[in-house]
Amino acid sequence: MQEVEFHRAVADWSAHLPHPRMRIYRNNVSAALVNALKVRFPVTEQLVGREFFFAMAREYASANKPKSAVLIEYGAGFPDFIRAFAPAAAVPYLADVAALENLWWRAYHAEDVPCLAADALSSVAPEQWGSLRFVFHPSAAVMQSAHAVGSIWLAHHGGPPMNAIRTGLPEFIVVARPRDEVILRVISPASFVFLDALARGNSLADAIELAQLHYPDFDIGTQITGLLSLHLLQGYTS
Amino acid sequence: MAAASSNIQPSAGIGLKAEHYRSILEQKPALGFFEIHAENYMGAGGPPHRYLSAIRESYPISLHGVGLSIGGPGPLDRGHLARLKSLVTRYEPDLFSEHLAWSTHETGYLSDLLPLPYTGATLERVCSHIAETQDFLGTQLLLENPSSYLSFEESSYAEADFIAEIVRRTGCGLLLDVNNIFVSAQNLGTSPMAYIDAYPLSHVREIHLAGQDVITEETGQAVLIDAHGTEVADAVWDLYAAVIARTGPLPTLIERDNNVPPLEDLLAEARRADRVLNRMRQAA
Repeated sequence: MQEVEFHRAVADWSAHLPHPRMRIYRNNVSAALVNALKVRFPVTEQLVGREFFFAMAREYASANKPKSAVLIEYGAGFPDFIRAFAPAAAVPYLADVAALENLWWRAYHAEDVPCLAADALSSVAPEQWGSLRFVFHPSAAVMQSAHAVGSIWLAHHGGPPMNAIRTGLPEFIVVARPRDEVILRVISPASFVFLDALARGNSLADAIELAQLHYPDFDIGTQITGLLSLHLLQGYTS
Repeated sequence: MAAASSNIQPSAGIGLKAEHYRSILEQKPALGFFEIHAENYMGAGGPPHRYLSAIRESYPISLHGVGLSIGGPGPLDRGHLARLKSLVTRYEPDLFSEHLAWSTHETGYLSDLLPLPYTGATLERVCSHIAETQDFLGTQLLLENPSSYLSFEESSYAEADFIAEIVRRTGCGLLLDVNNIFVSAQNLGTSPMAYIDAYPLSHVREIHLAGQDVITEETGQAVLIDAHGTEVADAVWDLYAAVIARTGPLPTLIERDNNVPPLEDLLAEARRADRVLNRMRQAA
């Protein structure tokens, strides 16, 4: 056995095995990568079952090795892989559930910084509110899906069960971790338009205008209270 | 390089698992130390860091890297070294260890501890990587012996001699994994006691004990796998006692990474290690 030959056989799982025991090393690598994906995408696994998930994860891992030894960062591309993975097409919401689990994972490991306090805006003069722009907390994200993936996720965490969910309905979700617990909530379409506009760096006035354009009954007072209670923000600039 | 100053007593510790964070903080079990896999604490923030900070207040920590790829042909990943450095600064571990293995390839990180041939050329690169790591981190590295399933034809050193030469050239210390000795000897058809006889035992600063799996090859040959998913085997406990009889008591880790049992089960194995250490103290 030569070193170069060994390197090739462990990196490329379709390559010839120069020695039958090399399979042990290859299996160790594959098992560790599949396990990293299981840990990051537990609901995705529960939706398709262990065997299907294993096959799908192994195919991903075969073509996508981690960029570093920090396996916490491994698997960010898995949702897109699922979207293009033909055998998973029978579960149309699967890729978006995985994308939501990605947001959960990023929130869990995000940098620890304080959230903007609920009364943080009380020191800002009302006439200046319109020009405020917000810095989102490192754990915060907003997401939209053509499927009810927030409800599907919650069904696997003590929420109403899968058979009570109309999975084909669109949903809008926020994820954040103000302290130890990751919070995941389904929000209204109007809230999504508003929060998404803020997350893209629009001023508060522009975000309100956009939301009101799509949703004429958009209620500013409720939305701003909600914005602060969702713990999505880290700071603001005026 | 001078030996790292250590607050870790020659007693038993266990690997820190997320499943046990809460129980540890509630029970504060009597234990010599916790060992962490460095890479599990390389996220920016979140509960892993919060729990580790809280546990660090009550216990010494041993920092165990699995991804530096010291045995790899390419240069060390300076970004990875920087991440290790920030853990060393933040958590002030009493021991730092890594493996005589490689894991980084041009296709990416291969998540295993892969073997290298023992030649003059690989000796040079391993020594240069260890020196670079010790310089960068400002601490002594304890090098862990691998578990082997096969050997390279091109090797010109026996493993124990290769390791002894690394110690001589770099001043690193050693982490002796007793299960790995047992597994490798079984798989390569060599003698574990002969390995121990040849090993530079006076440089060992820490011991690892772990469980193994067995698979049967198509030829009918049994192969031991360093699986870390079961209790430590009795034969490995015997080998451990033989090592400790020669080295004297050393910090000893019960390693369990798969099928993680309740905390109490790992503490029971740690107490078994402590009993071996105590018997050795009384015999001395």
